Amino acid sequence: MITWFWILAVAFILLLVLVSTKAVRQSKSIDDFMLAGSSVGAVLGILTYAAALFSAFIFIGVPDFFRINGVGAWIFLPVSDGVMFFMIFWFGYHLRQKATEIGYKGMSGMLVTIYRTKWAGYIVFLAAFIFLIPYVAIQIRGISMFLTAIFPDTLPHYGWAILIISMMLIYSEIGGLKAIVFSDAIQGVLLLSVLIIIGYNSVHHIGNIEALFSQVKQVDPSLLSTPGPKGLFTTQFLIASFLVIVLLPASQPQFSSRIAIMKNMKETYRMAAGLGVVAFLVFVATALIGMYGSVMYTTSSTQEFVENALLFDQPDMVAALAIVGLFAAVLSTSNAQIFALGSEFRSLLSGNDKKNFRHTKIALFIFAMIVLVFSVIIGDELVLLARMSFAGTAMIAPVVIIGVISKRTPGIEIVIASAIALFLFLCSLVKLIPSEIMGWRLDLLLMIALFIISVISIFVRKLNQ
Amino acid sequence: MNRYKIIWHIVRIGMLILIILVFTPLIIPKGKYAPELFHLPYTLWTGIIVYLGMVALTLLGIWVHSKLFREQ
Repeated sequence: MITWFWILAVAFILLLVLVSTKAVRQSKSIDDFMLAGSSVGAVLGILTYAAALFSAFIFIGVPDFFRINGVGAWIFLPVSDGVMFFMIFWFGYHLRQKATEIGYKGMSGMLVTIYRTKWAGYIVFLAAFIFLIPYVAIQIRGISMFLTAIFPDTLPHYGWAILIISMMLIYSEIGGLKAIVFSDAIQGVLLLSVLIIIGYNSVHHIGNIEALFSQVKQVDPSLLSTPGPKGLFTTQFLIASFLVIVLLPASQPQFSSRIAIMKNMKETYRMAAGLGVVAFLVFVATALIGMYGSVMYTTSSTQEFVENALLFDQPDMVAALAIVGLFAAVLSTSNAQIFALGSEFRSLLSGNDKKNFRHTKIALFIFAMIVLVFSVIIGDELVLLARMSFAGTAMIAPVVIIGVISKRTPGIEIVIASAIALFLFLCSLVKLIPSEIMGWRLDLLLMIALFIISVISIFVRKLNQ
Repeated sequence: MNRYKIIWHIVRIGMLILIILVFTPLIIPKGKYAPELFHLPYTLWTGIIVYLGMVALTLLGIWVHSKLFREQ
């Protein structure tokens, strides 16, 4: 496996160098660097969006989620994503129209123009900063711990984290978003192929689909229905998760920026359609790997399950491909999110473009360092931390969606309501206030309240005009 | 109303119906895994059908949206 790993790792790094060089050659302006020349086609679009969305979370987190909580995970993620793909082209159309009208450097900057107040941009940037940093950090931590376990005598886990962040910084600071999009494409292809192979091998190892599910039934029949063995998949949890996932194209800048940089609407349509197909293959594979884990590694830790199911139970070449795939996944996802934070930061700056660009590069470095520190000290719950990140940024989704689709200047009350919701959600995370009120999840209540306030705001302003 | 507008409405209503159905006991009956289809437990196979339905509606939505709305 080690020989295969080095062959594939060297091939991967060479490819990265190649695409970074190509990206540098294609970047002729600051906007080329920050927005990939806004000329991304459908295939690259599918792969870069998939890479930003799936990442280490789908590689490690989702199979483990299926293993522990059962088939209800299909409703938690794939079904929510099914609607998100619809949201991509619907929201994408309005976003691109607005971007043509007033220009686009980042969502935060665009919202400052739309709402005519800097607070709209500040609140969106703040939410992204607060919730993306721990999400990136947990992924880097997950992969670096994993690599430490596979190569115990090579580097400590913080050593792998430093390596990942250094590589990420080097090629994003040199090649910009175009380099990231290209590296996402490599990661997307790797991720898809490795997951399908491992998914197939997992079923083959047990025998067939019938044997797999009949053995799951013997291990624990509650894995085959909701709410699952731990009772996680309650209707409320699934509805709240559905909302935060569907809102991702609006609520997280790494997704909205990927829609904004598409060449035209035709390519955006193709991207949304292609993602629906690609995601189906990915989800089926992760479900099968998870069910395999339920049978083979019923009581194992996440680390043991991942090591065995993705590596030791696989042929050498597949195992090596999985390690490189994981490395590539964490690299491109962290890049996507940190670079998106940089773009949001730049979009809030005014004045000299060259000076702003220099400040953005410094900001990228600072964000990466904060992620590094977090990756050393943060906890291990990958999927639940990801969900928390989705929920946190969902609180500012009304500001973004109403700002983008509204033809008039939207009311500041939407910004204030979102800021209060964000604050309350943060308070619930640090346990200053309860996360459930009279049996209702706070995140769900906040989203319902925001929806009602937004509808009233639009209605009242329409009446007044 | 022209043909495309009617289809666009149908797509949006269809998506809404699927979303509502997902969170009812029709798709997520508590603690039940029968009837099975191709040995898949109930919530999984119905969930897969719902997902495919959503993708089909998205494809139809894309087609009709591109006819109704032109990017400026």
